[in-house]
Formats: sequence, C-alpha cells, structure tokens
Amino acid sequence: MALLLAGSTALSAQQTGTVTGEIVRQDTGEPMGSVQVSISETGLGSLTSASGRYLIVNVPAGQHTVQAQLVGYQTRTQEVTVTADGTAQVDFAMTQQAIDLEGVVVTGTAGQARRREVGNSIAQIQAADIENEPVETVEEVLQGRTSGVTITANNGMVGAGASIRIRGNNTIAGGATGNTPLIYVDGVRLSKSTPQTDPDQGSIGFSQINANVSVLDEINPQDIDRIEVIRGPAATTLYGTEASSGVIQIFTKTGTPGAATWSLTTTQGLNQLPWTGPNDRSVNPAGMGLHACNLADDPIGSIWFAPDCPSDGDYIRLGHTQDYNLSVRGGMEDIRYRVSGNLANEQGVIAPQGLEKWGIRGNVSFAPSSTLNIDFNSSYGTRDITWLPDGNNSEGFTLNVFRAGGGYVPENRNLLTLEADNLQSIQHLISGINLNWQPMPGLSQRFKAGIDYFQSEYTQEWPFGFYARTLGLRMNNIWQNRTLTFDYGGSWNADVGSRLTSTLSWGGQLFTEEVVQITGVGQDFAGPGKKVLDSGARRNVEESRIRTVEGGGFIQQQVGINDQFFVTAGLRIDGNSRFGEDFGTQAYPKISGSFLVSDYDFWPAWWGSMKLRAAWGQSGRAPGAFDALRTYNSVVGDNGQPGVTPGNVGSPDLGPERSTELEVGFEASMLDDRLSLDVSLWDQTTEDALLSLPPTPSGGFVDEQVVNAGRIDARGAEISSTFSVIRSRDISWSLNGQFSWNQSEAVDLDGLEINFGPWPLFAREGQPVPVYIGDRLQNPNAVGVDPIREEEVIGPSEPTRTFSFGTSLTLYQDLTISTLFEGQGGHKMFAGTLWQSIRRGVWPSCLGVLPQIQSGNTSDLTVQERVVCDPQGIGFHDPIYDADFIRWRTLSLTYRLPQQWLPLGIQSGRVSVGGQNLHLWTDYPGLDPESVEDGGRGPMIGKASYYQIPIPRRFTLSVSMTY
Amino acid sequence: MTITNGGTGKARGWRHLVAGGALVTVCLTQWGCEDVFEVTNPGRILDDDLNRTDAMTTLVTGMSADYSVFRSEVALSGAYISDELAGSVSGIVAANFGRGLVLIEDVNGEWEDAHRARFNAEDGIRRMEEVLGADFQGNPLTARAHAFAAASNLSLGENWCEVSFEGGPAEPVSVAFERAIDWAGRGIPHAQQAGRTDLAMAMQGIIAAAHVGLGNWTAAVEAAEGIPTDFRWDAVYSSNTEREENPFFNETHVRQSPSMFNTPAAASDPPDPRTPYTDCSDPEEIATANPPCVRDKSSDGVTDHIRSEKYPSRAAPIAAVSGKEMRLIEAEAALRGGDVTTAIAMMNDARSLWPSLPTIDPADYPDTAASTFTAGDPLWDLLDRERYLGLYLEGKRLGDLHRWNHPFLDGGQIVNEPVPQRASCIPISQNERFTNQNIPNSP
Repeated sequence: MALLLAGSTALSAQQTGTVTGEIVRQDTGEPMGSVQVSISETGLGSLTSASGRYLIVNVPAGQHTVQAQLVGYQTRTQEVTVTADGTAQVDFAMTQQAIDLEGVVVTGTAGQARRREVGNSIAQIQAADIENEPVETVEEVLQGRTSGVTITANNGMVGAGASIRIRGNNTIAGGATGNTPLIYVDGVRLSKSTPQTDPDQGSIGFSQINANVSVLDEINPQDIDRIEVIRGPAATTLYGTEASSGVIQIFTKTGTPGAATWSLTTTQGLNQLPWTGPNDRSVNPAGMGLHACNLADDPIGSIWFAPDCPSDGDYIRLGHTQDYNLSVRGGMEDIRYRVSGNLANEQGVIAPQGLEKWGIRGNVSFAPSSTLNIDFNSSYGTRDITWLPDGNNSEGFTLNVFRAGGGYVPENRNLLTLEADNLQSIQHLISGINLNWQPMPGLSQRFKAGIDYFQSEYTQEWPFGFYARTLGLRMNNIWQNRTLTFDYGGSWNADVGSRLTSTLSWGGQLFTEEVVQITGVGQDFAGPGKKVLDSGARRNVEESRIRTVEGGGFIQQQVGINDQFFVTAGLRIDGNSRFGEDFGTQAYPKISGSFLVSDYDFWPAWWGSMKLRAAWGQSGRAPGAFDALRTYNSVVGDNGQPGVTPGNVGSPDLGPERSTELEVGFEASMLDDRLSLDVSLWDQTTEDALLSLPPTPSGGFVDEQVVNAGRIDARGAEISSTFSVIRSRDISWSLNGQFSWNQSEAVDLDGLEINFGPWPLFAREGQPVPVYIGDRLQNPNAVGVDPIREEEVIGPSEPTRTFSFGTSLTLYQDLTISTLFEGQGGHKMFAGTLWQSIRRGVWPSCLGVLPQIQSGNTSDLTVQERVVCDPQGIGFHDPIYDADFIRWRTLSLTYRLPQQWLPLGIQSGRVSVGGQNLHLWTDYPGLDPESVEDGGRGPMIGKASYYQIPIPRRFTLSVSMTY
Repeated sequence: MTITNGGTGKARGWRHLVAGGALVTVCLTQWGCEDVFEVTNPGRILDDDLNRTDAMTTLVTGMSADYSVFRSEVALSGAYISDELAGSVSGIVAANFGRGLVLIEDVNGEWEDAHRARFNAEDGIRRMEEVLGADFQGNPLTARAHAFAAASNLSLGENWCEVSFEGGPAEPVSVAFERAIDWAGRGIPHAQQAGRTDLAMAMQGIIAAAHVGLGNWTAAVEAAEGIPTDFRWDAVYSSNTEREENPFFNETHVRQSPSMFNTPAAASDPPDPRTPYTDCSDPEEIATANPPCVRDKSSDGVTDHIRSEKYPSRAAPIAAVSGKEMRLIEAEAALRGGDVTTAIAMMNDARSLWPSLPTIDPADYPDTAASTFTAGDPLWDLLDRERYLGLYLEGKRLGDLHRWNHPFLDGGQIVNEPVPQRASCIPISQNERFTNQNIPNSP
C-alpha cells in the first residue's frame, strides 16, 4: 500500500506543475489581496495574499485558462501552459468595473446573488474605496458614498454618534431610532437601541449630554471588507419586521491563503474647531466666547468676558488624536485567519472632552470538508468617553458660554460647569458563527448564530460644593443590550431545460433582544471626594428590563431565462412579541425582475451594459414592548410609599405598520466601461402606520398609546455615477457623484396633529414628516409697521436632497489625491442657540442694531430687521432657517513609498495626509446646520439645533506598512 | 451555480429541500412557535393585578401622588399666567404664560395631569367598592380617595375655562364644581365613620371653595365656618424622589427661573411674612441667603432674581384646603352682603396665623363696599390683596382674577410684554381637542 501510495504521489508530481503570480491594480500598481484566482477546468483556485501574490499547486500539466475575479473589478483571464514540475507565472492588472453585474451581493437568502439577478439597487462600498480616506467611523465611511443615505454628524464631540437615514423618514414611530436602518455585521444583527444620555430620559436622570453614542463606533473601518446598503421595503422584504427603513450589511475582512502578512497603520491627527458663530470678527471677536473669553477691554468682545477664562485666553484647543492599527492575515486553503487590533486616543476641541478606545477582532474560516465551511467572526471593542456638558441643560458648558453671562452659572464663571464629571464607558462584543454547507452542487444551506452585546456605563458626578447643587450628586446609568441572532437559510439552484434556471430559497430567523437599564442617583454628600451612589444621603433607583422576540420564515423563488431575464417572488411571515395578543402574524410579499437588455445583439457596443429592474415589496416595523398592553405604572407618594398611576390604555389588536414600495431603475455602463450610471425611482406607502397618540386625556389615561392608524407616503429618486476620465498606467483620474431626493407626506394621521416638542416640529396631514410649522412674519420687508404673523408650514427638518461629488487622481501609480464634497438640503432647522442669544441681547449679528431697537428708534428698520434682533420681539418660530449646506468632507493625499525606500522585509508602505470637514458653505445663520439634537432625545424624530458643539475639522497623517 | 450531475443529484436535492421545509413547518406548527413570542416583561402592573384588597393602600397612595403632581403643576402654571410670578424664564412656554398668552398646545401637561389625578381617584373608588365589598363603607382609604376625587375636580373648576369628562363635550366649569361637591359630600360620611375628622374637614373646605366657584355664597359660608383657621390639608411632597418633589423649589432655587421681580408681592420691603423672598440681586442679601443664591439674575439672563421663599425645600407642602382660605371666603361673602365689619374681622382672623402681621384697622376703611368685586374700592382692593398674599402660590390666584374679571387681565405686565387681553383661565388642551370628537379643534 505504501509503495502504491508513493508511486501514485510520484506519478502525480511528475504530471503537475504550479501557477503563481502577482495581481495589482492597473491604475495604482498596488498589489491586491483577496482576489479569487481559479483554473476553471480543474476546480483549483486560490486567493491572493495582501501582497497580491497567489500560488496554485498540483495543476495538471497542459493548457489552462487562469481567471482572476474580484467584486468591483473586471474579470481577467489568461491562457497558460503548465508543464510537469514547472512553474508558470501569470500576472494580472485589474481594472475597476463601472457596473459589476457578475459581482455578488447579499439579499437575505442563504446564497449570494449576482447583481444581474437582483431587481433592486444595492449600494456597495469596498475596502479599496476608503483605504486612503481619513475616516474613523462607519458613519464617515457611508457619508457621501451611497446615494439615498443621509448621515448627520449631530455633534462635534469626539465619540458622538451620527444618525443614519435611508430614503428619509417613513415612520413617526420608534422615537429617535425609528427611522434607523437595521444593521448586520457579518450576519449578526445589531440592536437599534442605544443608551440615552439625555436629561429628559427617565424620571430620575440628571444626565447632561445631548449626544448619543452609536453602536457602530466600535467597528474599525480598517476591518471592513465591504458594506452593502439595501434601500427600501421592496429590497428588504426578506429581512422582515423592522427592516422598512433599510438594511446595512457590514462584512469584515477575512484571511487569505499564504504566509502571515502584517499591516501596521499609525495615524496622528488634530481636531480643530472652526470659528464659532458669525464669521464677521468685527461683531464676533470672541467666537461666541469659545475662542476668546478674556477680551475685557474690547467694546464687543467684553460681552463674553469670563472671570475664570483660562490663561491662554480661550476655552478651545487643538485636539490631538492618535490611532494605531495592527493586523495579520494568512492561512492555508482550508484554514484562513485575520486578527486585528486597534488603539486610539482622541481629544475633543474643548478640554477635557475626549475618548480612549481599543478593540480586537478575529476572523477565522476553516473548511473541515469540501462541502462545509465554517466562519467564526468575533470582535470586542471598548471606549471610554469623557463628555462635555452640552446641549439643552442649564448646567451645560456651551449653553452658559454662549449666553454670555445670561446663563445659569454665577458671574459667568463657565468653568464651574466642567467641575462635573460626565463619563461613559462602553463595551461591545459582536460574535457569530456561520456554517455554509453545500451537500451537493446547487444546494446550499446556511446556519448563523450570533450575539451582539453592548454595555454602557454612564456616570455623572457633581462634586460636593458644585455650584448648582452644593451637596453634590452622582448618577450612574448601566445599560446592557443583548441581541441574539439565529438564522437558517437554504437555497437550491437548478437548470430547468436549456434556457431556464431556478433558484428556490427558504429560511427562518429568530431574534431576541433584551435591554436592561438600571439608573441610580445618589445626592447630598457628606463631604468632598470621589463618590459612589450610596455616598448620597438621598438615593433613587430605576430599573427597566425589556425582552422582545421576533421571528419568521420566508420562501422565495427566482426564475432566470437565458441568464438575461430574472423574476423573483417571495413571501415572509413574521411573528413578534410586541404584536397584540389578538393580532397573530404578519405576511410581507415581494416580487422583482431584472432584464439585461444589453445582452442582446442589437445593443450598441459603445453602450456596454444595461440592466433594467423593477421591484415591489413590503416590510414592516413593530410597536414597542408594552404598547399593546393596558398597564399601570408604579409611582411613589406620601413620602416614599408605593402607589400606582394609570399608564398605557393598551390595544390588543396592535400590529406592525406595513411599508409597501415600488422601485424601478436601471444600471448602465458605457464608453468602454468608463461611465457608470445607477438610477432608481421609488414610491413608498406606509399603512397602519404606528402613531404614538395621546388617548383622550379626559379619560384618565394620559400615556401616549401606539395605534395602527395612519398612512405615510414617501417617494424619491437616486442617481449615482462614476466616470473614469483618464485610465492610463501613469495617470488615472476618476470622478464620482451621487444625488438623491426624497419627499415624505403624512397622508392620514387619523385627523390628528402631533407635536414633537419642545420644538415647533409636527406631523400634520398633507405635510412632510416631520415638518416645522409656526407663526411667521408676513410683512418682513415693511418699514414702520407692526409685524404681522400667520401660521405657515415652514418646511421639513430632514434633508430632502443629498448629493456628493468626488474625484481621485493618481499619478505614476504612486501619488493619489482624492477629495469628496457632500451637500444636504431642502430642509429647515431651528437655530436654538441663535434664538436664545437674541433673547439675551448677545447674538453677534444683532449687536449693531440692538441699541436702536432698545431705544425704540426703529422707524427706519424693516419688520424683519427689527423683530429678529429684538430680545422681546423675536418669536419662537422666527429662527427657523434654510439649512442647506455643502461640506468639504475629505481631502487626502497618499504617496506609495518606493520599494527601495522601504526597510528590509517591508513589502509595501504608504504615507497619507488627510483632512475632514474642511470647510462649510451655508447660508444658515446658526452655528452649524449639521450640529443638531437628534438621537439624544427619545421622542424626537426631527432635528433642531440647541447648544451642540459645531463639527470640527480633522487633519491626519498616516503611515501604513505591510510586511 | 447549477446542478450538472443529473437525476441523482436532483433527487438528493429534493430530499434536502423537503427536509429543510419540514424543519420550518414543524417549528411553525408543531413546536408552538407562537409561544416563542409570548414574553412577559417586568415593571408594569396589569389592570387586573390591582383587583385585590392588599392593593388598596397602594391605589390610594397613587391617588395622592397624582394629586400632588397636578396640584403643584397647576399652581406653578397659574402663578406664571397670573401676577404671582414673573415669566423671567428661558423656556418659551412659561415665557408666554408670563405674557398672559396661554395656547392650547402649551397646556397638554396641565390638562393630562388634572384628569389623571381625577380619574385615578374616581376610578379607584369604583375599584375599591368592587374589591372591598362591605369594607368599603367607612374605610379611611375610601374617605381619602373621595377627598382626592373632590379636590381634583375643584382645581379643574378653579383654573380652567371649560371642562370635559371621559371624552364628553365641553361644559362650563360649574360641572367640575358640582362634581367636587358631590364627591366630597359622599366622602364625608366615610371620613366621619372612620374617625378621620381631618379628611371630613378637608372635604367640607372643598365644598366651600366649590360653592364659591358656583357663586353660592350662603352655601360656601355654611361649609366654611366649621373649619378652624389653622386647619390645613396639604398636597404632600418629599425630597425622596423627583416626582415627589415640590417643583417650585427647583424652579425658584435651583434653576432660578421665575422671579418675584415687579410682582405685587415684591412690593413689600421687607417682605410680607406671607410671601417671603430673597433678593438675589442685592449683595447684602446674597451674603446671608440660605440656601445661597446661584446668581443675581433669573434664567432669562436679564431679570433680577427675587427668589420666593414660600417653598424653601423640595418637601414643602402646598395647601389644598386651608382654614385661612375659609376665613377669606367668609370675608368675601360678608363684603358681598355689605357686612364690612365681619369682612375685616375674617381677614384679621386669617392674618392671625402670622403673628408679625399687624391687624387691619376697620377705621382705615369705609363702612360700605360695592356688592361685587370693584377695582379701586378700598375694601375690595384690601380683600384682593389679602387673598393674593394669603393664598400666594397655592393655585388660587388665576381663579380669582377670572371670577373678578380683574383689571390685571387687561394687559397687566410683570416683565414680559403682555398680550392685550391676558388669559384668565386655562383652555382645554390641544390633545383633548384632537382626540375628543365632541370638542372642536380650536377654542
């Protein structure tokens, strides 16, 4: 037997050879990892390592076709002759593909689908798109790079989470996170719930922060392989209830066969706050008191003089940031790994604001058999954030600085507010296992199990002697959120005759989410020093535990004709613990089609590819955990005795709202694949819309009751395009642009009008959701008359237009310059900081005219001039302005270091300098149209600006090495 | 990828397909997946869980808690709308109140708190009767519940322009007064049987005040005269939890929002003992203020902060029924009847609670007065001032301005520029109007 085996091995060795080579990007010459190289006739293949190398052994001697394939790039093939015991060198230079119809996307089924089969537009961002960009969060990755997605930064503090909207608002349920899309990381669903750090949350909370963290911010962008954005219910049907605001799938990098490849990136940076308030230094010499607080002798600047102004004369600083990333990837054909870690320290623009974070990730894949593949993806991240008290709270730093002595601190000693500690510590684990079993060709089954565990501890401590509460106070909020994902799916592909293909998919998911929140407050300390809750003489506690279960199954059939025309129909049935007990389950159907018209012979050659598509589908959104029940709440009365008060009226028939969407569009490439175009038109109707309405108060139950009562329509369009202007070996220049438009309308609110206070934001029938409504000046240009006000619809608070424009230029494969501009518009914003400053006579732009107003000598002023600067005259609804803006999001310059410069053993290296949020163009007169209160307040679905820190600039220098 | 290896593979594929489908089918049908979605979350109390005798104390404590919340809220809002406090605040709603502008969208909280307190008491009484059976009669809990039901209805009548109950049409406030009298009348026997004379007296006082609202002065005096001047039945507060706190303290002392600047109460220097204050803008007073003043201005940043010391702690109670109010009712009734001597005597009786106050000398006033409130009439001005100071920040002033059609309503100003005709009462809220088909959306 041994002899036989030896003989067989020897024979095999004599009859096979090796194929090896390097794969690089054609435009930059950079080696490309994770490219699938295969020899189709043999079933042999390999992935390139990070250095772009691949090796395929035991290739039978003879003539073969070698194929190199990577999503987003044109597939390349070369003929090669392999000789026995020989090594054939086959190199490839890959070109990015304008429209990659053969690329695969995830659609919710067990298998992946080729783009040509899919009836929806699915946006993808590849790792290569961001590898040189100065982005630090997933939201920054998405910003300006996907049409139909609106990212609002919200707050200029480091660590503050942005908000994400896909196709605008289509619900008014769920509070701040109601319109947040579902997010999956390597197939594990993340919870939408985030800990609230808002003073209005809870009945005993005293939190001072109007910024929320994002559950995405423990994900290191350098770990991301690709992101897929699935927009609208027509595309998200199979994701079921909760998916009607879209789905974002994040896939992290995996290992590649070959020797271990290490990558190290170090980044140093600076955060810099732009001039705060009006740019005219003659009226705003102190930058609203942030940039100068020592101008005691300046006739205007003295308004913001603070006796405790720091010795350097201002409150701001250049915030130093440092970020270190190390990863290693490698493996063999059957076992691959990638392990990474990152460590970062970021200072905000006002001390002591900042964060420290670190995280690790390990992705391991192994194939115990030729039909079974197991992936284990796990990440753990932690962040410690020191917040600055901002936003709408009387002990806030920004509020008191901007009010210039008209705030709450004594004698304008604003630093007193910083005696408070506001700390948040976050731990985030995302872990999952994924089994893919292909027991036979054409049949694949998938099982996933995963956990998303998020814990936050937020502590706020006002020390003994604190000006606002002299005996001190400590609050501690522990938030734990555990979401379990169980997902089974199967898919069976079959040829039906010579022209038809069939793909049947089925599956089921179960998600459980448990949110535990415990808040404790201890106040009135016996003396100074660091405290714990029970240091307080008075102590209170609140606890909330909410568990929800969601599950369902789906079946989908796709039929393809000639690989040119595809029709897909599916049905999902969902149950949910949040449905009323009489409601039962909910069914969501879908149907879509795609048509590769360019595959026909009549299609002109210059117009490379053209895919027409249409999709119709439904998805939903569940009510809250207690919404269906009639409940009473525990209260305390009679000095500490237990009592009850009416809570929720309850509704046993309560079910999810159902969003139906029709989407049509096309994807095209032309001019030798230089120009791509992806256009979508969509129309949504949300019926049985969940409305959180007050029951008739005179009935005694006053908590808002969620009911299925409304209808919200939305429609829009999205266009994205890339154009490769120059595509040569020495010069590569490309342009890209995105535009999206959306418009929502509350068609039916059961005759009601809903106010999302405290701002004049409403849901009103016939108007966008939400919309600013208020009494506005009708005679702004009249002179010498009293103001006339009438109620009018001012406009939506959510952008209705987002657009971006970017370009990238690479010279001699070594030097790349890229930049991105992004704009949002069509919306209005309540400029709360401006409003309160005018009421106190300290808004810089009004200082010139204020004496005239105060003297009553206003006969030559227009009504507008007089009212908007008059502390007594400005109305609550006056400071709502157009909030259109264009922001210079990123600029980066990357130089790939020549090999001869690199130390021994270093395979590649590059240096990047970058900037983010470099400039803002806007007519919005408030501080920053993107620095808003959104997400920090539970009831809010709209945006308003109120003492948030403007978005700072960030400058970075990065050095990356691979060896 | 497609199947390429013929019939055997297809047959195996079908077997796997059937197996997978069966798994899902079994889960959905046989394993009772519906049970998977049955989740009981802790923290809330279901309606039926309250139908037990040992929950009755909890029920009545909840009534007390809701009444205290309502009572303080209506007193605070009423103080802004009337001339008790300046709208020297940061928020727009209270600032509007200070101008005498009361919009229906700004009073949802007041209306909801009023009806929650009323409903919790009235529905609680129904539940108590069902659960307690024979023990309902003469039970001290029953008596206390009736007092909260009566007091809630009284405050509705005293502060609102119209009322509505259980989704019904808008009705005159007299309906609320009559309900208050009814609940108090039914509660008094329970209190007497239970030996709770304090509750019986409180309900008697509620009847007196309700009759004032109805204009039944004889009945009002009849109900009031048995109540001692030093009697108080309070809405209770505590520093135990935020919901239990008297919100006046937070507004006046912590946030330093409403000032007494330019109010009639601040005109007395030194302060009248009934309306004590600290002038936080006066350096001498700042030095001795206890607790210390946070700063010299109110939260509007421009108004000197004259800090009311009426409620100097989070646990300071607010009088719901008081003997001093009864004396002032008797004084007004006497004045309306032309009995000046009795009127002044009753006012002096009320002032006797503050020993430092001098007695009103009848010689300083005319022998006769107008039969109804008349601004400028020395005796009516005196009564106006005595009720203002004596019942300061107790949720009574707005009702007085309304029933007297007080001249302050005609554009009276404290600090903010007023609307020409100030609101004299709280309208039915926007939420009620939008959800109650019996009431038009606009007032």
